[in-house]
Amino acid sequence: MSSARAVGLRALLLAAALLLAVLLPAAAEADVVFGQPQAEGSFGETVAFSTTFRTSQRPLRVELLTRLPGGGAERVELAAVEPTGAEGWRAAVYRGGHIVPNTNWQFRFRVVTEDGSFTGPLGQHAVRDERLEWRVLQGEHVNVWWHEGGEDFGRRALDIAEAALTSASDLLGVGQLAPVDFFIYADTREFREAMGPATRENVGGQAHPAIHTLFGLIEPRQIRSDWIEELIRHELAHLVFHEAVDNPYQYPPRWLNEGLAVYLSRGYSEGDRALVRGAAGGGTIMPLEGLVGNFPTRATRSSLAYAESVSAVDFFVQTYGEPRLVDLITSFADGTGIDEAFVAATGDDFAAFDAAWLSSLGARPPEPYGPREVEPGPVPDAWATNGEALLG
Amino acid sequence: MTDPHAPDPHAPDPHEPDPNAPEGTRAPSSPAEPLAQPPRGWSRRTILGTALLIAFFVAVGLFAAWTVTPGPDEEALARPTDADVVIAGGAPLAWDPAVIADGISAQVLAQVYEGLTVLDAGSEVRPALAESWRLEDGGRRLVFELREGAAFSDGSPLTAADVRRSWLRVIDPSAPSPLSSVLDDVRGAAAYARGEGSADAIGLRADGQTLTLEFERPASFFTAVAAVPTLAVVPPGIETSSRGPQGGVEIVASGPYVPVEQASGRIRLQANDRYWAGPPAIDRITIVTDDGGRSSVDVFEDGAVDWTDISPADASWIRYDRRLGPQLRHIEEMAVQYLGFDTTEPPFDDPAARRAVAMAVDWRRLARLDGEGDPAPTSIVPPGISAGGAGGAADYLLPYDPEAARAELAAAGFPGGVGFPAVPLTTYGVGPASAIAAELERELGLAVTVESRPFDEHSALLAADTPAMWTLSWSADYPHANSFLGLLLRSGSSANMGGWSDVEYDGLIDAAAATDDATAQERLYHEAQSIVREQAPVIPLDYGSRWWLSREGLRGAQVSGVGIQRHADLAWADR
Repeated sequence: MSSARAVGLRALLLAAALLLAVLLPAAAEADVVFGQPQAEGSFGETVAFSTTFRTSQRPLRVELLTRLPGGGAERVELAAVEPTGAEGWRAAVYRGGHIVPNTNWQFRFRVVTEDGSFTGPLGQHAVRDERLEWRVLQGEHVNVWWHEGGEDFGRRALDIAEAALTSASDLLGVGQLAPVDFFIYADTREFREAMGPATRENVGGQAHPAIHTLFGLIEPRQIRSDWIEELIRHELAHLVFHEAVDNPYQYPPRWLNEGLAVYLSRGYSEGDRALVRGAAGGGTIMPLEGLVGNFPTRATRSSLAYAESVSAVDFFVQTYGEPRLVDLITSFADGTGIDEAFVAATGDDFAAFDAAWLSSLGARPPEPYGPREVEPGPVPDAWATNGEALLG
Repeated sequence: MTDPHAPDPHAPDPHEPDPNAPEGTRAPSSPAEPLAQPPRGWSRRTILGTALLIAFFVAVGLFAAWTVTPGPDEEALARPTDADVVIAGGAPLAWDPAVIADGISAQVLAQVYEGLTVLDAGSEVRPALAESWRLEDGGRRLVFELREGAAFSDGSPLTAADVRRSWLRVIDPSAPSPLSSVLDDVRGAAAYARGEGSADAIGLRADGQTLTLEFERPASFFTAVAAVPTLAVVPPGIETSSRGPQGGVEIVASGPYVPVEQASGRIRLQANDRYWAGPPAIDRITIVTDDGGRSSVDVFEDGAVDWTDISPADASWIRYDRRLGPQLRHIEEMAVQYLGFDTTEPPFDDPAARRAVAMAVDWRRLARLDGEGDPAPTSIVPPGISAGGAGGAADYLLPYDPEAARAELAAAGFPGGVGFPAVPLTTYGVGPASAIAAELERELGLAVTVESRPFDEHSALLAADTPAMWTLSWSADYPHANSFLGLLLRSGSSANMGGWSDVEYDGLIDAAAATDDATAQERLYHEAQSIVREQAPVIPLDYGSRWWLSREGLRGAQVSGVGIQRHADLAWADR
């Protein structure tokens, strides 16, 4: 058999397969045939998602569906649609605003016609921060990306990250994690731009579990400091915490998340102890009840919130032991309520733990300053009585 | 009306983080928490005592000063110098009361267009453009007397004919308002909106400053309906200004404020000198509609705004903050978040399929996990509105009973969930949608995907192509049970998204609305809600709660139970 003939036969088979590949979706999806979806745009740019499709019916609407690697709800947006010829259409969505680097979408388009809805093939797009020349070292669980410092810096960061991830995962009983990308910025302005306009001035790192990504700011002068170790341990602790408690019902109190991250990254430091003592003595301490949701954003109050959080975690460990802390945290994965979780771990509810922690600091439970009633404003004279009464 | 305020759009509910959270504001309890950066040159070994702790704070301050370079967004957040009060809010989807149906739009338009009545800060009905009114014929006729000399902001007279013209726009059969059903009690109005009958047949007559309404049945609560922003009085030719005060377009107002500009994330309002009650105390108000993605608390603390909604997740720490705590405000709104079904199409046209969902999920537990200590929702009517024992006194929610749920599913033709079609749960980024999907999969074996849309697209979809199962927040248009039981569930109502229809239910709702006998009304609403319980066309998920910050000394900064902050009530205590 000549090679020419063999090539010809393979070409024929390939052509037949391609024809089937085109025809089968068309047959399965009635009268909408999609082109390959496209996405363009890097960090700082508007991301353009688009597709072409053919249908004999006028589309009622076309939607873009996007999903992040961490799962959760699928985001759906209406696409702008324009005809491109006989039965040909182009649909596009332009997504602007701040998008954190390394956001990685799976996306597809859906066309709705009178006959039903038809979903196109999957595409994938990651938003890269192309302002910087990144170097990368890939480990077993973590990929470290950096743009300042030599190979030894990247290696050190990777070693710290791998060890920290293993340690935190072992502690909380978390199994295999999806690979984590850790981006280390060396420039404050570029880091802050990457994190977004709402980023506080004193933020040095962020964890984004939905995209399996961590960010840290390590300036060149800090490359050999302890800060690297603390930063990496802290952010990885958040990621592991997220994996340990992930559930669709609720999220554990934030003080527990932050408290554990600080506890595992630098322990209950003398600096934090001093902050907490000062607040307890000065009457500015917040109960843990006040730290279940967002934290204050201003530097002073934010630092106190972090210090109180690690103080409470330390108090828990001193009182009940580390295994019970792990029990408490992992119980949230079942959708257990905060009181139920504390009762199971300590024998009493969250309010009792809050009070015991405050008592250990010699602090009285603080009284809330609000909410308060609004002072009434001016009202029209005519409202002295209502209309019906006026007419008797 | 739909209520995107619940919760604060700036802070997605902890139950349901924005699926693409890294792009924007993170969920309040998201683990994507930042680590505070140490000051320059800091290491843990350097902080050993109080003296160095002081140095730490000094260094933090220096660090912050060194690192912060004002960017465009920060410049944009400077407090407007030409405003007496600055409010963080949203831009209306349209500047036409007959077009909008969402709470954010209503909040803005309520400052610009006035109704015959208004609800005050305590949600009491007060006279507005109407000076007085009287009920006649056993409540079947309502006569409003408009104020003599009432005028639009351009000085043109405002008469009963303007009210009639404005209201006919709401029920225009070629483009009825999403809330056209607020006029269903007016004789012939519902038929006219459906394209049946003529405008002359509608029980709506104007004569000088007198407006006479004839009702299908006694409707004593209609003085409250007249305060709904949808029924505000608009000037002739409003169609030409429905895009707002942009590009030189001037808006003529009937309310306390005239919008004079909308640009660059700002709406500027100027006091209407011709307002019926006289010009409001605050002359110039700016509504900031774009905060550059910043924390609303930071924006308030910076002094850039005097009033802002905040999320419950921020309220928890602000309560204990010495500076912000005294400026923290709260109200339980007359609002409910609920799960709805398309009852006109399979599988949820079968009550058994709806009951299966209703009993498969432990709704009371989901409400407890919300963590705010709110009462478990047991009625589509929120607490504070009398409706046959609602507000916790009666339970109109089927019991959590997975076994019974599976039996109902089998009765609907899907034993073990086999054959049940793939249905998305459609939402707009709030509420326990993922938790619901997880419960349905666990208890019934149903594969439910969660789809989250922007709020405006979600609202439009519900009106145009109702999904099988969705969530929505609904705020009372007026403080009466009919604003929920009538508007959301009566047959043919424009806000009855799921198309549910039950003749017996309709009769009970109509009878309840028609009676002045409070005891009889309670009984009728109880019977009606009992039908809702058994038929499960909707399932209540959560009641509305609103947190905001308003500057100390800013009087009248209250939000009413229907979710409106009336800017005409504002005044500085010291000015």
